[in-house]
Amino acid sequence: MALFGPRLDRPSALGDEGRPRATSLTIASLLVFGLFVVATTCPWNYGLRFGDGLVPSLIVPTCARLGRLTLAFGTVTGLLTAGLALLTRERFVSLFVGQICFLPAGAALVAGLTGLVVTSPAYGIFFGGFAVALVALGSTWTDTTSGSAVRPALFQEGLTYLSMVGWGIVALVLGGAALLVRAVVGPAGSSPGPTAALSTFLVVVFVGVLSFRLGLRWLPIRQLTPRNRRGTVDRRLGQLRLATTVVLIGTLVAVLCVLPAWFLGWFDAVYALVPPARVLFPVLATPIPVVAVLGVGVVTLALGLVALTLRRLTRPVDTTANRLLAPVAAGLVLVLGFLPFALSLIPVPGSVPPIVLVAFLVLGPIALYLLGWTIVAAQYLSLVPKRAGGPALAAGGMVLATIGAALTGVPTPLVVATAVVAMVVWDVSSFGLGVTAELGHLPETRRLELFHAVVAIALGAAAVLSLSLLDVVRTSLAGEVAATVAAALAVFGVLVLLTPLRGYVAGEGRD
Amino acid sequence: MSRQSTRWRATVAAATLFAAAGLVARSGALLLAAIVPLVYLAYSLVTSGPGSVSLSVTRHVEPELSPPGTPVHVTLEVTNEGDRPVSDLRVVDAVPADLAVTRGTPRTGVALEPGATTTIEYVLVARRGVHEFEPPRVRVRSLGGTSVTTLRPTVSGDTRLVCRLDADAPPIDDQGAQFVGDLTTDEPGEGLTFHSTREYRRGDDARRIDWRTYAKTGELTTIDYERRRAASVVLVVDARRIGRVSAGPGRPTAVELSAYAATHAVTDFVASGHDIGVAVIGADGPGPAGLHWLAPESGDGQRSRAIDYFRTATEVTGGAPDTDRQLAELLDLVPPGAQLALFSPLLDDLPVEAVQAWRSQGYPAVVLSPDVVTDNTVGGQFEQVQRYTRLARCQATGARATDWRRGTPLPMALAFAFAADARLPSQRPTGAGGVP
Repeated sequence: MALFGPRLDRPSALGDEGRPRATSLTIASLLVFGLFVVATTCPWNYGLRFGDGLVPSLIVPTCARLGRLTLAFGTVTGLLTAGLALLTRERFVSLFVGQICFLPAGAALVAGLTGLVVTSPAYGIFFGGFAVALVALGSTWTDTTSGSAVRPALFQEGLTYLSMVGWGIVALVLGGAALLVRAVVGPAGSSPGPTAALSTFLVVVFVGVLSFRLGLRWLPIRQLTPRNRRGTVDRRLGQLRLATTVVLIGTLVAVLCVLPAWFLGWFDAVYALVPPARVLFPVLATPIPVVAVLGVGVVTLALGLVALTLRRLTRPVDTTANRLLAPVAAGLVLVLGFLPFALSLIPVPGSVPPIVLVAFLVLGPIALYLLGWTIVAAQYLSLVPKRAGGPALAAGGMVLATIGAALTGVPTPLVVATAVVAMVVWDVSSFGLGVTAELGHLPETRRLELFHAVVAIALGAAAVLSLSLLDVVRTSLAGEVAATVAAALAVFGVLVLLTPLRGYVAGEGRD
Repeated sequence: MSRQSTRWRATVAAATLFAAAGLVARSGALLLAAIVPLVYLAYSLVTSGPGSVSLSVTRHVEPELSPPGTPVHVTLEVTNEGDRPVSDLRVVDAVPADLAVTRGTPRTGVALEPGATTTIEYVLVARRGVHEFEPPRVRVRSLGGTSVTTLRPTVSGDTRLVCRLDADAPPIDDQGAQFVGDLTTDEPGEGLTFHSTREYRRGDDARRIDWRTYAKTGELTTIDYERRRAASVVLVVDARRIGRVSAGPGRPTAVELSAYAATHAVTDFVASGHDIGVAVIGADGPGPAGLHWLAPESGDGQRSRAIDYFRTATEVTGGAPDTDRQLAELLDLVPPGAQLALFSPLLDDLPVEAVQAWRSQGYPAVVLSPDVVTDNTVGGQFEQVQRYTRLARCQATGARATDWRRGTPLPMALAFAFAADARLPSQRPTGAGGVP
């Protein structure tokens, strides 16, 4: 039982044919994560310094040392994976939490890596490769690498983003209105003009009564009333609805009358006819009546929203409604809670205008959306295998990381080790996938998987050792250019040697 | 049969990418890294052949002869008889298509050293028939996992499972009763339980004279015991199409379970000296109204004929006779004084109406209902509620209705269904005939 929030693992998903066996996947995950920890905390600091560029501070704003990068990078990829897993569920809470995890983490990761690729391509490729590998392995664990799992997540991410935009506009309008009211009402001690005060009061009454009316609609007053008194309560609620409707229409008409009259100067005649109005109207726009009218409406509306939310959460599962409602709710939470928090954390370097950072935050979800659909399209076009998509992406990510590691100047043994990990990840994962497909998830096959993994890792260790020695010989006996040419010739030689072997194996396969 | 895996094809692309990037960036490290994928490719190609593999396979089926619905334990042992280890051995036992595995798995994957043995254990649920086990499918892979060889090794030990309705029924000779019949009555006579004493009559057996009373009073008295009699029991098996359903794939159908229970019951009754009749409804038979009908008789021959009818009931596939007419005809055929035992899953109302008709005619009735309804779905739960309601309706008529739940041993269910009080005349409605 989960201590808090929805479970990330689903027993029905564990051991499905879409996921390699747990032992194989554990080995692959440990290798990738271990190499990442070594590569980002190694004593030979290979030159990634924070504060020089824009994007590292975007990825991990408060990181000052590489060791923290490991933790932060793992957190972001982990949140992205957890969000993706939760977005394949059906319950509202799972979908809501999934959006809270998926969109911010995914957008930050994609935006940060894009910036890193722009400012420092080598590091961008290096970290991008590890990001792909970690996310692919994570989603393989949760069995969410298929297009059928990614598509609904992207659909909901798009909805959440639109919802964020919508809620952002609403927040801006409300904020503007609040500022307007505050400007009109003015600070304590100052008094607005009588006509302005009357107009403000009418608007306040309209908003307050409208909020009250909406809250009244959603509050379970009738349901909480004893059965013998429901008739009376129904009658009074009807009267209240009628009264509020009359007030709403009345204030609306009044506002529509007051504003033209104000601009046409007809109020001077009114004040001449009724002099006390000039004294009475400013009192209406003082904080006490405004807060009283608005307070009743807003509190009723808030209680109604709470009741509506509770009803929604306790209703039986309706997948379609949940998939539409969860992004809307998540968008509101992200707008109100997350964005201000994230913006407050970002240290803005002196040379970078804040608009660039805001642009990154705005464009991040779009980039995540496009990247997700690219992966789906790649699966559709069979560029990424459907069943082995996770292992293939993980191995591909490690291939990218290998190139990035070489470009950033990481020592050769570490570069070769990264290439070895890419091969082992593919080997053990595809092997585990084959075992799952052939034997199902019930048989105990740990020994078989461990044996295969040990052989693959031993072969990789031998490759790292021999190629590192070769590198020492290469760099000590020849110059840089000559050594590169020699290495290229070595690769070509291995390819030539493999050609007859391929023919031999093809002959074996025909038997 | 051997074939090659293609999972290392992408390594050539990775090596090419490394080499190209290394050349463009003039990075010796990347060029060296390009060798890594080729190393793995070469490794997979060199270790392509699993070589000669010598395996011995033994299968044990316990019990080899079993009645429907009972668990059957299967053990498959695979031993590496060669002198080289097998790095990747995957075994899938060929479970007969009609049977389902309920516990364990018939598959395994291991690395097997020379002389080592791996064991697969699983449990099947028996269904009526003879089920042959094909040789298991064994796949051996090379060290690199690239080459795959599929074998069908010869299996020693048990190669089939025989499931018969009378598999666990004891021979009649082993269970003969000393007295005719197993039903006690209120009438005095010969038996085991004391009933009363009366005046001696000429011809009374000397062993029944109460000598203690004679010593006290000087008068001869005879002891009467509760007389034991044989009953006529007609076993009615519901073999209609609606009962040809099971609780899951590979499990016995309700008709098979009903026939099995009836087989067990007929063996017990014949051994106790009762007269047994048989009626199979829902199957087109040679008797009146298409019934499979055996008039009540006793003896081993009757038992054999009854079991043949039950077997026929489980094999019928087509035909939908008029079951209402069959039930009406059955009432004409059942002799007065007989009791009726219905074996039905109670999946519709027809059996309940039949029991009501029997009870209204004064026949004692027993209903044994095998449970084949799954309750892990809403529909299944609804069906189960309806079935419980039908059991209760049968009970309300005065019949003894017994729910034979899955997992309950049949002898226990039968003992409860045919408990002594169910067979006593007090079960009958007032003024009706039945078992004396």
